[in-house]
Parts: sequence; C-alpha cells; structure tokens
Amino acid sequence: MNDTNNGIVEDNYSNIGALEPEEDTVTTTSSNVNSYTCNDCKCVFSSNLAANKCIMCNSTNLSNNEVNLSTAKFIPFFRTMDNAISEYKYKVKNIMVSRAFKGKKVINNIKKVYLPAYLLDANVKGQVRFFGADKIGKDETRKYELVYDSNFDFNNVLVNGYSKIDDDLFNGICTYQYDKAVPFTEDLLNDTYSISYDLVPLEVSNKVNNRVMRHCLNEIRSNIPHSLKKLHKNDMDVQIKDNNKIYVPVYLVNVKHNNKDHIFLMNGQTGNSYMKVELSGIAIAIFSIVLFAVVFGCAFLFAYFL
Amino acid sequence: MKKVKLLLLFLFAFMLNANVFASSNTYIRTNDNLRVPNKTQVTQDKINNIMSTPSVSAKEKVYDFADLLTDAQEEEIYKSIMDFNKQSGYDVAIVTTSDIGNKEMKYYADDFYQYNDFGNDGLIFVIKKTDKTSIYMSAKSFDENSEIFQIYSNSRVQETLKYIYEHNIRNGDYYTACTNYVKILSGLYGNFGSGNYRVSSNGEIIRNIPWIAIITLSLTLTFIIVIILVTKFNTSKKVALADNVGKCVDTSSLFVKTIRDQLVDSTTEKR
Repeated sequence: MNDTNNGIVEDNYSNIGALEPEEDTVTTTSSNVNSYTCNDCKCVFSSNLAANKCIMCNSTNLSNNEVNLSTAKFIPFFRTMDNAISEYKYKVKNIMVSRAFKGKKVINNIKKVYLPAYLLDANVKGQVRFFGADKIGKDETRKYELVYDSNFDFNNVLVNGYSKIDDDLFNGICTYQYDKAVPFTEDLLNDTYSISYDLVPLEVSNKVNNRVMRHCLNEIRSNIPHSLKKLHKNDMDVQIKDNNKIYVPVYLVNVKHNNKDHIFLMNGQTGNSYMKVELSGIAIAIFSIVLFAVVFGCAFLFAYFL
Repeated sequence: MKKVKLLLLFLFAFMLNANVFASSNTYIRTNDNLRVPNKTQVTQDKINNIMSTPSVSAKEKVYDFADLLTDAQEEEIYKSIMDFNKQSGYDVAIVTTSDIGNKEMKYYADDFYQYNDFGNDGLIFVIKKTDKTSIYMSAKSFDENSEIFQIYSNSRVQETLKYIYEHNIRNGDYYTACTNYVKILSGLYGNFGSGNYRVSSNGEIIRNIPWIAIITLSLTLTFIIVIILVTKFNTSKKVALADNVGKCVDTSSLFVKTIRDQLVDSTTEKR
C-alpha cells in the first residue's frame, strides 16, 4: 500500500468488485441507421447521417458495418448546437490560445454525440487502518493507530464506456438526471452520432473500484484528528450491485494540435463543458510584443507631455 | 538763463533714465545706509554679508566687474535680457568678477541677488574669472513654491552650466557664454508646460525622454501581465475538473465509525 502526502491514495486494491460478464447484446436493425468503423482509431459509431470522416480523429479511412445498437437507454439532448458553439468559443477566446483551436473549420466539426457509459450502484464496506501522528512541541512526536469501520453506498455512478475519452474529463463533465433517460428510437440519432462501447467488463470494474475507493479513503482521512495520516491496511470491499448501459449526450470535437488530441466535451443536458487548450508560443510572443508596444506607447506619451 | 538751466536739468534727467552699459559701478554701503531692498529683513548676523556684497543698480542687469566684456557686448546682452524679461517677467543678473572674497559662489550669488533690488522672481549668472574660471547660476524667488524653480530645475541648471562651460567659458568666449545663457533661459521658459524638456549637449532645448526607464517599465509590466495571464489560464484548467462521485453517496446509509484511536508510540528527539 502506498500513500501520498496530498491526500490522494494510489492503491492496488485487492478487494475489488467485478462486473458480471456482459450479456449478449440485443441488436436493433434499421435501414436508416448506418454504422462505421474507423480503420485508424478503431472508433465504432452510428448515425442516420452519412459519414465520410471519423468523428474522433477525422480520418476518412472508414468501413461500413452492420447496424448494431444495444437496447440501452438514452438521455436526450437538452442543449442545442448553438449552445455548444458559444461554449466552445468561450473556451478558446483567450487571445494566446493557439489558432489551431479557432476558426470555422473546428466549429463546424463539433458533433452531437451519444457516449457509451455504464450506470452502476456500488457498496464499499469494511475496516481500514491508518497511522496518525502529531508533533507535540518541538521535539516530541506521538503516533497513533486508528481503525475505522465504514459503509458507503453509491447510487448511479456513471462510468465512461469509451476508451478514447479521458476518464477525468468524462467524470468531471458527465453528471445527468437519469430519470430523463428514454429507450432507443431512431429519432434519437437525427443529426447525431452514437459511439459504441469498447471496454471489457474488467476495465469498467477497475474504473469503478478505483473511483469509489479513492473517495471513501479520502472521506475517512478527512475525519482523522491528527496532523499526519498514513494508510496502513485497507480491508474494505467493493461490491457492484447494479449495472446498466446508458448513452449520454455530449457535444464533442477533437482538435489535433502538436500531435496531441484536445477534446472539447460539453454535457448535452447540463451544459457543463471542458477543454484543455494549449497556449501558442507564437501567440504569446505576439501578444507580448503588442502589449509591450502599448505599454511603451503610453509611457512614452506620458513622459513626452508631462 | 533759466531756460538753459531747465534744458540742462532735462538732459541730466534723461541721462539718468538712459541705459548704462559697461557698468561696474558700485555704491558704498554703510551701517547707516545698507542699501538693501525694503523687503529684506536685516538682522545682525546678516550685516557682514550685506557689507561684503557689492551694491549695484538693479536696472543695469550686466555687472562686468572682471571686465570680460566690451561695451557693445554688454549692450547686446542687456537687450537680450530685457527681451527675456518682457517675455517672462523674470529679472536676470549677469555678474563677472575676479573676487568673491571668502564666499562660495553660491553664497556670493545669493547675496548679490538678495541684497540688491532685483525682482521677486529672477535668475543670476556669475562668472568668476581667476586662474581657473568657474561659473554659477541659480533661480531666485521669495516664494519657495514659485514656478521658476520648476522651469529652472537643478538638472536643467546643471545641463545649462555644463554646456556653457564646455563650449564657451573653456574657450574664453564670455560674451557668447552670456548670450547662450539668456537664449537657454528663454528656450526653457518658452517650452514650460508643454512637456518635459532638457538642455542637450549642443545647447538645444529638446524633449527629455527617459528611454531606459520607459523600456524597463514596459518590459517589466509586459512580463508581469503575461505571467499572470498564463498562470491564471493554467490554474483555471486544473480547477475545472473534479470528480463528482461524492454526489452519488447515499448519505442515509453512510457511516464511518472509529473503532480505535490509540497512542502506540511517543518519541522525543534529543538535541
């Protein structure tokens, strides 16, 4: 067991819960819905639009597949494309952001996408031991052994079901009102893409376990009444109680810059969004020169006429 | 005969009013008649200074005690001083001397201006001609907040003296030194209020632009602003994402119970 100083615990959890093997997917066949596989990034996506580029990597190297959609539930879009465009423009409005993130071409590439996800319930229960310590005066250190018994029930933990979307990005943006979810109909895919699941159950289990365990340990740690806290032994178990597939609405665009993917993701229900944009060295230099010129001009005029 | 007397009297009066050049005329101060302006407060400790200061007519403006100028030159200088006086309202005195007693130049000039009947605001320029010629100038006013001290600030006075000394005094050209002096006074006065001026090494009145200060200020401000913007941008990126799994916790079934909180060890460091 390892323990870091900043309160984030990185453990190799032994007591993890596991998802049951995935049931056979019930498929829906429709002549209106097309499915594509990108031969470059292996993204599989569906839509009633005719696609000539991959929605993730913009590759044109696509192949057609059979339409194969699960009967998972879908949360409809509540935000419009105009909302997404406004939000995107706000994200990249900084004058020093690289031009690769700006321009109509990028904005036109923003897509309405249903991302695959799992909706899970989980229980974390058991004992955990910490060592605590306090400095008394300048010279004395007192060490304590602490044992906690705990129970945490998690409801509706949403887990990213697509490997190309970063989990931190997904977890930070994607919270939904799940009672709005509806069964699949073809109308849901009007002008919209749906990306297929590409994770195996074990990968999903690990994601859930790590997230909920990290949260539980941080909660317990925050209750420890000592200044130094170190995890000693973790006997808590994670049990995954429920597992539902759900497609969640997002607006998505992937901007490739300096050989890196920069994904803009906006929650199609709440409007929360995030994008990690890069500042351009050239833009910083130009901005600095312009700023210098302005400051220089003002200072010069001040000195000239004072 | 009466008409002749009247004519002579008229001529005498005319001569008194006429400008007098090549003057090194001084008047004798006595304890009964110190010949100081009415506005001067005379105290016992000032008596010696007053007595050692030449008493002159404030109208003459050019006091060539060291005889460095010709009459014609004095006349030209006088005219230029009077022109400047009309322009500015400031009184100007130019003194050449080879003997300032045991006074320093500064005190000699101060006393000369103060203990003769010059205007409230004015300037004095002293050339001391000895083995090594030295010059001095300063602005004078009875009001310490007078504008004259802003127009003829210390730095401008130093620049003026430096130019005149290096270009005229060093060559023994005292006349040009005096005309340049009045020219610079006039230039500085004319440009006052329209910007920051200084006297160049060529004696010209030019804009005083503190380039080094401006460039340093601009670079520093630019650096600080860019650093703040970049740091703010990077910080906002980090803050934006936080896992919200905590919102999924069912608080009704949540419990964290302390089973043990026990002291197991206590160590004391020895120093």
